[in-house]
Amino acid sequence: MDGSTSQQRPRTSSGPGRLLVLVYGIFALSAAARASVQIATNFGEAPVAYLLSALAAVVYLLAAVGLGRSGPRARQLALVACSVELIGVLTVGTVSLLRPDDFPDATVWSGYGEGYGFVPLVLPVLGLLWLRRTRRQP
Amino acid sequence: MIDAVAWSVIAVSVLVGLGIIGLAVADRRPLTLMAYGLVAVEAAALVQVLVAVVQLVRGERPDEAAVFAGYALTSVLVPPAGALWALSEKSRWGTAAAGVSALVLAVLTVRMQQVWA
Repeated sequence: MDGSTSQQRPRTSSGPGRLLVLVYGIFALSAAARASVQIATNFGEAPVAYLLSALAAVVYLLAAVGLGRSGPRARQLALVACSVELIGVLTVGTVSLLRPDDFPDATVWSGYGEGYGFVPLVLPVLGLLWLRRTRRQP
Repeated sequence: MIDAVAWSVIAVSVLVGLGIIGLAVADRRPLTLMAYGLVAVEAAALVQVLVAVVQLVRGERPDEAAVFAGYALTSVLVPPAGALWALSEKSRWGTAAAGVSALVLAVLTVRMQQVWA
């Protein structure tokens, strides 16, 4: 089953996808580590920010898994994860600029990911473009 | 953390990382050379954590101990895991990914310095 689908659809984990999955994996790990430390040590300080960090970690993990595996379901998972990620970084980025008081502690997505070299903003765009590029055999 | 150690680790990581990305741009893939570089990166990460452990044993404490431990663990796991994932792809993108997994150590080391004091 896997063989026939990967013949029809180019694998999202090869070529540039290999680098993309690596970066998603690194972000999943760092966001998860950051969120768990924040939630474990001083959750009361900024619960919204910390829960958003945790959400971001889950989204990054799902995107890494979706892009790293082959098959239509993995592709769907990656598509949902990258879309949620893009909406998340745009929403949180905008809100964090308009109402900075709501974000006493930074999240991965604050200021459109400025604390992480804007990689959180670029990553979902690249992910979606890559999913589009690999949709059909060229 | 000892600054001299940290900066040496950053230097190794950046040198190997950018070097491998340069190879990717040139579309070359000298596996043995890259393996030496990536092993050097992992060795640097291990030495750095070992030095930190010695400091901890001697009674020094990082400001944010839990965060530091997380970074320390990540710093020895991510470069080799990333490099293996990267080099199983035989195109220039795999080579570039191997370079990125080496550069991660530099970023993590900067963060470790920040949370140590």
